[in-house]
Amino acid sequence: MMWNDIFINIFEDGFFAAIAAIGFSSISNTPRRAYSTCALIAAVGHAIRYVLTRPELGGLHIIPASTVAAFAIGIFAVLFASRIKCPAEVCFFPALLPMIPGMYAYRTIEALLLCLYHTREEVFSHYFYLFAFNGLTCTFIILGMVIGATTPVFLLKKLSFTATR
Amino acid sequence: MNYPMITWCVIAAVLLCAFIFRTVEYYTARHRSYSCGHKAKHLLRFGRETDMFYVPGDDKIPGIADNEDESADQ
Amino acid sequence: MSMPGDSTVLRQTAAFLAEYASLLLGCGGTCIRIEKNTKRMAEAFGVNLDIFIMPDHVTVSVWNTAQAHAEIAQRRTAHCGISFDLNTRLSQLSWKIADNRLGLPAAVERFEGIKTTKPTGKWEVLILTSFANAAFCRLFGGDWFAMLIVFVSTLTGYRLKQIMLEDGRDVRLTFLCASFFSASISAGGHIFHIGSTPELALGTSVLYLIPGVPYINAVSDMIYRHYLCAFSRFFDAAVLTACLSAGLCAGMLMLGLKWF
Repeated sequence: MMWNDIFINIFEDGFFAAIAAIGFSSISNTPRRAYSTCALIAAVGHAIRYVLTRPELGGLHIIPASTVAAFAIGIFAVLFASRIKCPAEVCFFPALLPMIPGMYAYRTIEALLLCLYHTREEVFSHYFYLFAFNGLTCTFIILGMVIGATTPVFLLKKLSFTATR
Repeated sequence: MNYPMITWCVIAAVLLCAFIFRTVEYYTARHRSYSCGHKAKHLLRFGRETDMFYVPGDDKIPGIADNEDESADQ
Repeated sequence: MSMPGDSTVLRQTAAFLAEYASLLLGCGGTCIRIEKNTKRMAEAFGVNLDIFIMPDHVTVSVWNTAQAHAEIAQRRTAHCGISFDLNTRLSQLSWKIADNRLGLPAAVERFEGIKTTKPTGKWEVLILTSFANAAFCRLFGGDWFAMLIVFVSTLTGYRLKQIMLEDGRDVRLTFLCASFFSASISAGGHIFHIGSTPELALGTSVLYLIPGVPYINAVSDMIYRHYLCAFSRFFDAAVLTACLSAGLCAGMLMLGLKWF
């Protein structure tokens, strides 16, 4: 059945996001007790974005979808932070990393180099278009994500700064 | 074998050599520190600022620390 | 016990708060956190405080309520690398001081204890990061072969980064070399025709180097109007990102991959 497939995909997406979150949190010396929370938040956040961007489910563009998912991550991070007695950014940062649009960033650089390499006008414009498109999408995804994730910290100021109490 | 394959093998070999070099250096350093208790010198290394600005008679140049670049960002 | 208005105690308090702030800034705390934590502790010590945070230095000014004495302490930002563990412990310390009314000597003692906190084991970080980057490749739609390639290239590249940082090499040079070797190793998938998504492996292989914490901290500082710190953090991160892109491009150019 189709729904079955979709659930498996969502689960797989969350699972790999969780592994990525644990690995990247270890780079920034996160306390070990925070690993499971980071993984959970990352899985939920990435699954939300996956659902929102699927044409048959949410059908949203990737920029608003990332912002919404990051907002959810921020709220979860603030709520869970006081349970594991860590500042909120410890939780949401590793959770945000799997959502960073690496492929867009990479295609931007690739298009830029191709652009420099070709001199014929129509070829150049094509690659310049690719460069601008990927670059803008990447920038706005990151901006949306970071603003989406930091807004809950800003809104729930009292809760997020007493997390380590 | 074509050109990119050879280049790839060379790059991989250089990296492998670096790791092997490091391991050998690490073990010889440990071995030596047991026997005569001094730190092993690197076989190849960059000059430091203190080496460049050192004038005989100086103890330590103020403002230039010996072990400065230890920041690890990530 | 001496009063908080005493000049010597005031000086010691200022020194402690400045060292605290410099360590918190060095381990990747945001400016708003530094301000809140130091204010909280100053209140517990019964002194007034103002703090001036610049990217490379922190200045703390402390005065007593009668405004009879004031002391200023300035410290250079600690170069300890990003550590959320330190960040958490320092924040906890500030609450302990505020809630339990710890005196200055007890606070200093605990602070010295926190300074000796060990970072996560390097082999653990190496393995976890490699798995994480392989999982990343999967999220972008890579197949199992691409995941394996990314795992190996991350393992070698990250180990190289660790070795170079241990030897005290420049961070930018380290990022350049690590990304060059990671990209070159993962380009093996393209050269030897392994798997169906070698270009994804190549693109993902250097993503573990992206300095995400400074980017996110920069936006946080911007929201709270610490524009200078925000700009400095952003630029630090941008320079590192440029270095890693340069390494990636150098690797691809050297291997003569077909889109150049």
